[in-house]
Amino acid sequence: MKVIIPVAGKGTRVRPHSYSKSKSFLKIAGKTVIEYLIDHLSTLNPEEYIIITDMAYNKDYKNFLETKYPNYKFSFPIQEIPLGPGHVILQAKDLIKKGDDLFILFSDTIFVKDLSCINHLKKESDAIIFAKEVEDYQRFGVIVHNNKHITKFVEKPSTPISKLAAIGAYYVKDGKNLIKYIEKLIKLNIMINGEYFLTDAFVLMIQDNKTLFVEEVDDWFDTGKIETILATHQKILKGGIWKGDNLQIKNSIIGKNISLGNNTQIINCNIENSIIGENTILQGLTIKDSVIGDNVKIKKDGHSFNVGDDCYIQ
Amino acid sequence: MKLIIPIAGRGKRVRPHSYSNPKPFLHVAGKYVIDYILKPFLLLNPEEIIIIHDRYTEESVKENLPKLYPNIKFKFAMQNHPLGTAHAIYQAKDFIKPQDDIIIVYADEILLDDITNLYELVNGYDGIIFSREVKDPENYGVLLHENNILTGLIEKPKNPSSNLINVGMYYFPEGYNFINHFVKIVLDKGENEVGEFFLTDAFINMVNEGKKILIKNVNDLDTGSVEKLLSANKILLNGSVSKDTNVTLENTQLFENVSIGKNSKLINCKVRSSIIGNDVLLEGLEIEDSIIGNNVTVKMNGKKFNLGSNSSII
Repeated sequence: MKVIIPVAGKGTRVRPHSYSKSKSFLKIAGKTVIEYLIDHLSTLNPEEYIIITDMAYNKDYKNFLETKYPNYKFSFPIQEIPLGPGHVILQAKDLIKKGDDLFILFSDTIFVKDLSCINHLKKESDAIIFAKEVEDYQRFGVIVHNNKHITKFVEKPSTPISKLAAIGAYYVKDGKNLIKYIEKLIKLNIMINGEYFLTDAFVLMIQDNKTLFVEEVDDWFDTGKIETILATHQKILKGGIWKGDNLQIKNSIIGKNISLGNNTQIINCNIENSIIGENTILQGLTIKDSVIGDNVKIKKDGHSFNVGDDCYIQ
Repeated sequence: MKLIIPIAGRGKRVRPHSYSNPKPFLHVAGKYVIDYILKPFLLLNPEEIIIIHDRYTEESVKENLPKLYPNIKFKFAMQNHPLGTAHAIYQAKDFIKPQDDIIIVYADEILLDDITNLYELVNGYDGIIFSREVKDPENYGVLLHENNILTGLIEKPKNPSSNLINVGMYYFPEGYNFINHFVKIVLDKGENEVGEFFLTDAFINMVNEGKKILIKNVNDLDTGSVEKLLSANKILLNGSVSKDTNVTLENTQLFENVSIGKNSKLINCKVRSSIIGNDVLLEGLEIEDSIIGNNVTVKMNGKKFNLGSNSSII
């Protein structure tokens, strides 16, 4: 089995943090998003992890992952032009051999599920789409099924025909075949707003009488925007605190759900529900529901601001 | 005449702003840095402007330069790896034809002087290196000269016999020969001790072949760090204030040397000697010697921080 994790993408919804690093390098409770993904998928014992990056961050991912996981096999194809989640999988085409099954995980998604379920589910299906019931189904593509067999996908429905939303995790039994379906999608020019969607490849599979199962996950954490990063952080810490090395904390109240990166100094502060990076110095502040990066210095009533695009203090 | 401008690198000394913009697109004194860089050279009517970019700056320069300057012919060449100044310039090779004269200018440098007399100035010489005097030549690469003609270059000399350093602007009437012969010799020789190819070695090659390069002192501004950018802002504004379109000020005092980008709103603020970007909202702040990016909101006593790496308020 091969794992495919596309990490390309600008991360516009997690700015400014995605300006200084690729969004999958954001840390939640001291661990990068990409590490959460790989650690979870390692339970599948994949033969190879295919990490699809954009041009700018390719070397950063290679250096980080090959150092962190020296015993795993990685490949790092590059997606040069962003043409959607369906198209990005094509960059792995040459790495998928006959007989390879695939686990595809889009990188905004941390989820909780014992993946050994795949072993029996794959006996009767060609693909498994992992999903979760959501309240705000109107925002998502939902999955309509008949006793686990997927009958159709409906984009952003106005009535609750189904509340099961695909979370961005997929198992596909025949990887080479999936590539063929994606190529068919491109040949038929099936696009939405200039992008090819993986779901549309699955629709073609259903039309060809392939069997697709939907399987619900136990929990699902989105890391695609600031608010959901903080919610994910809360779920992971469960009220606790993550502390890096060499911290200096003086005369401060550290509340619930806090991450403090290495070498950071917190002086005369009151902090709640926040992620603070490394080498950061915070003095005299009340901070809540915040994400503060690395190498940041803030003093209460400071007059000299060096603040980059898309920051806020409100 | 063709203008060659390398726009590459991560701009470490202008963080956090360089995370979201290549340095030439930073704001200074009511315009972009690139506007001030190009200004004196546009008066010479360049036939083409060749931009040498890397994988970080590629998208931004290709998207923004033609929009800012629709009447100029831009060509783009990629420098795949940061292998030094000679290597960067060499990437322009395919765009320089015999008979082309070239001006090379680095993207941190604003020339304050009028050089419309460039063609008279170079009369009889094989090239011009623009220079400035410094008080501490031992910290720089020093230009050795006799009667204003380059005789050699010494890096960080202990007993400097000259206090002239190069500013990062050069003119070569025989551009084709400069690149295809003198710069090529540098590349053929192999990397230096730091693994790079320096353009200054090409000048030494020219001196060794009896070429006469004129050294000309100019007034310039370096914009390569936050402090230097603020200093450039002061000099260019010369005490005044620059407000772009749709700027709203409520109960706000602007003192000297303030530059504010479009659609920004300042409420109950006092500002001096600062650069504020587009779409900024500031409330209840005293600000000086500051650079605030685009799309930033800062409210006094705000508790929700979304602050990117390398920001500071001190």
